[in-house]
Amino acid sequence: MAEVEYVNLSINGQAIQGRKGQTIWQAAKDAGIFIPIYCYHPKMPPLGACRICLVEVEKTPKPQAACTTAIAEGMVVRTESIIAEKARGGVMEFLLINHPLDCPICDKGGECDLQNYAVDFGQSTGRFQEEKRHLGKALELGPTIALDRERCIMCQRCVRFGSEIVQDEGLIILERGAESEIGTFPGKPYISQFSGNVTEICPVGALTSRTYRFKARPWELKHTPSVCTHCSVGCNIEVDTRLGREVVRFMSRTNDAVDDGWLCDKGRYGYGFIQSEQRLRTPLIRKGASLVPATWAEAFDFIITRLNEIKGQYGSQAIGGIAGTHSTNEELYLFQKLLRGLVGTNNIDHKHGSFGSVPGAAIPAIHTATIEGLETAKLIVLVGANPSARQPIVELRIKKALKAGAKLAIIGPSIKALDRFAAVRLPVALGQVEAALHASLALLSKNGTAKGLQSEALKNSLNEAYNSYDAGTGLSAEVQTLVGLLEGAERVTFLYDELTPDVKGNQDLVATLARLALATGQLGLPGVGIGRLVEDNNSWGALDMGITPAFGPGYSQTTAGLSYAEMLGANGQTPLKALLVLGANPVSHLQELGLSGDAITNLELLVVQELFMSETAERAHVVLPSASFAEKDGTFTNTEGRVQQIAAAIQPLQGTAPDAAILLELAGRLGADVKTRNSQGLFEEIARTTQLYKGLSFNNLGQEGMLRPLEREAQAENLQIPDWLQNATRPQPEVLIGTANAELEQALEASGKAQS
Amino acid sequence: MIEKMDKLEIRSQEYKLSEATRQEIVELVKKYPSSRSAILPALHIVQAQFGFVPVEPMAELAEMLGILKGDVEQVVTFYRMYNQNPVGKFHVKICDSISCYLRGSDELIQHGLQRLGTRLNEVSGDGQVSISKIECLAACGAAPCLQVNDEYMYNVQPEQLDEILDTLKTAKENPYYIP
Repeated sequence: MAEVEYVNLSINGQAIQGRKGQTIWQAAKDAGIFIPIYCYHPKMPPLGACRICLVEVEKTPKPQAACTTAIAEGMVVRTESIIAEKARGGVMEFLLINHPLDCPICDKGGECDLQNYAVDFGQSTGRFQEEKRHLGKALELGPTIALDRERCIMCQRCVRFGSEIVQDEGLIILERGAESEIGTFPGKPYISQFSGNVTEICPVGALTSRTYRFKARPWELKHTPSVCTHCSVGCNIEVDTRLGREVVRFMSRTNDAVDDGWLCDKGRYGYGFIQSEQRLRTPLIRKGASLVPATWAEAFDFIITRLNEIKGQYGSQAIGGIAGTHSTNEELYLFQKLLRGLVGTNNIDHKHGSFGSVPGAAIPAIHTATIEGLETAKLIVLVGANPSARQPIVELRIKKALKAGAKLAIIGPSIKALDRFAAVRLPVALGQVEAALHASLALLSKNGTAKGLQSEALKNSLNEAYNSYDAGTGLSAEVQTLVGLLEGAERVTFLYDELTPDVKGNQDLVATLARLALATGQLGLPGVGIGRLVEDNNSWGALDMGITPAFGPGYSQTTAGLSYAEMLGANGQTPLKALLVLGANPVSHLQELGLSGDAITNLELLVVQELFMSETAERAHVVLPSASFAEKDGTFTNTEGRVQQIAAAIQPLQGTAPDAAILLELAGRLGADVKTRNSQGLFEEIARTTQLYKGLSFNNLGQEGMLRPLEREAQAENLQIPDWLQNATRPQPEVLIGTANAELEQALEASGKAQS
Repeated sequence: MIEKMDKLEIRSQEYKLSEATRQEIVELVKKYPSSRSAILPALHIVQAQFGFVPVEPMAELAEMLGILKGDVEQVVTFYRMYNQNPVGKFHVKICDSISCYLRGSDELIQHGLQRLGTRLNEVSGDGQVSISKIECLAACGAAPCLQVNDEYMYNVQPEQLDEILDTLKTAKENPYYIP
């Protein structure tokens, strides 16, 4: 780390030490001195367009823009002097020249920087006698955003969000000077999966969300800190409810380590399900062919009676549980505790990608990459992953890292938003991703640059593999480029998608990737190394809480039970008589697993806890209506292993109950002495009993969550190279990189790459 | 707004860069260390082909220069010398910058439009003439000034403009062309 140079200056007579290279605004902010801004946004480079941040700087002939002026030794700045105040007032007057002052009908009114600063720094009357600019109201820029051009002050934040952050087609400035306005390329509406962010960074009421238009006034809103549940990134959101009842919007709750202040549209606008008419509102019990409404007491009695009967008749091994990956850690922990402890079965699983030959206990230790860590990586390798589609906010972080000089390598199918940024692409079919990794590993070994590979058997198998690769084709050249980058990069992040190992051909992808990370010296490095891009907001939580037949909470040893596919009838009929389903829809996966739906028809008891009538719920004997994430407390563990807290924004909808409460009631009726009922207590129990969550508590998770201790304390030098990494790798003659292979050629053709 | 949609329709019709134009741009780009720097002269080449800058060729140009389509549109709408819509065979560009403004260019423009019976940037029915405003032509000593296509006219008074417009209405070649 280079030593930080400090600069001494004074602001409003207060002696301040700022870091060299900071602007006056940044130094002032660090010192707690407020300077208004419009065009400047802390996540983007300074622009100096709006001039509202003008301050007096001694020995300069005129006021300076605090957002663009770098601090210097001995600088004397005044933000409250007559010169500064006059400058700000003047700018304010100019900004308001064309502004319609229609605050009473503006969505932004009440949380508007223009309104606030006009009160603070403007005059009570305007001097502008001329006609203001008149333009049509609420121009629909695209499916999500409406633009009021009269209100716009041309700060360009939204335009630069497109050019600096998303680095793709977005909003632009049309025309010039007094006639300029925000718009899009002719005939192209503003369609971007990050579009909602422009409404949040717009300092005035020019850009507003079409979904929130005229829905509420800011002062009626209750803001509840929460975490988005639409993908595994776990962006921090604020659930805004009107009068504490109706969810009207999600806003970003900036967490630099996770979302960097941005939300994707899927997350921002994905709140409709919470108060959907389709939500289940009463327990249902099967009577013949139909599910009929019942009371909670009837439903519980039914479940417990049947469960005990089945247990008595067939034994506890005839009972199983499948959980979803949207439930909280507390619910998942309770679910497995109920099944393992009270029912006495290890038939517990959820849908997740395969880890191949990686032992359970090694799983958390090898996944050390963090989202923020991407910014420290010199090379980012996407391994059969498409964050643009599945973890959108990761795309923005990758682009930020690339802007700062990192390089990108893409192994696998084309990614529209990122292809053009890639230094090298190995456009293989998804089923060839592991083969591509293997080829790179073999080349590293051949070059003699592979680190940490100690076993002769492994080296020999890699050399053998290398010799069987055809070195003469175009793709071989790309493997060489990738290996060259890997050899040259100090810190590398490999991101793979959790489902890629499930694609035929990638059976041991995670282990191969771990070997590659080891060979490049990246395994276990804090912040970089391997990152698993998982499916849902709590996919990691489900693993961590032991919702698998292979290991218990914290990857602890346990007797093996039936797996997901086995419970659903992978070997003919399901061996189960009773199946409890917590917020999952396994029936929707039957086809994908190559199973017919008949396998589960002989279940005597199928209990489903769900928000909506899913395919699985339709076949259930009992359906219990549960509460959404906005109606309960708890924690989620995101794709980088960060444990984050959610809080209830509204009461559970009438007739529904949080899953934890349902599980606790079941546990009580099964004879457990339930002492802990709230999420906090449950989480403390998890932290107490699970090594992986040791030291975490509701009190120290705070607003930004915490990485699991393991990741926080990851130290490459302490890493023991486990034996399983030294095993000889699987020979893959059938998927050779660079040999004539119809699938591969198709992939190359599809990606438009000539094989020259 | 309606007016804007009409314009968009014209700009959005099927236009395509010719092979010659593409080649010219490819050659031009070679002269710059970074291809995006070639955007201004490249747009002039595009305009030379169509007489204005249509939508589809902007996208083609963006692709050639490795920049975003939106960036091209921003440049095209920023500078007045790029025509966003078709212009007449003779394009009369009257300066409205400060010197010409002080010497009556506003009145001159209004006078011309009235004489021609068109709106600003609108082509006369016979396709012969259109009048636009233009930024400073660097002939302030002879304000108000204008250009007919690429030829300068100095100290233009309303009566002279009438004469110019009348001549242009029937002209086959630019009568003011100076070789």
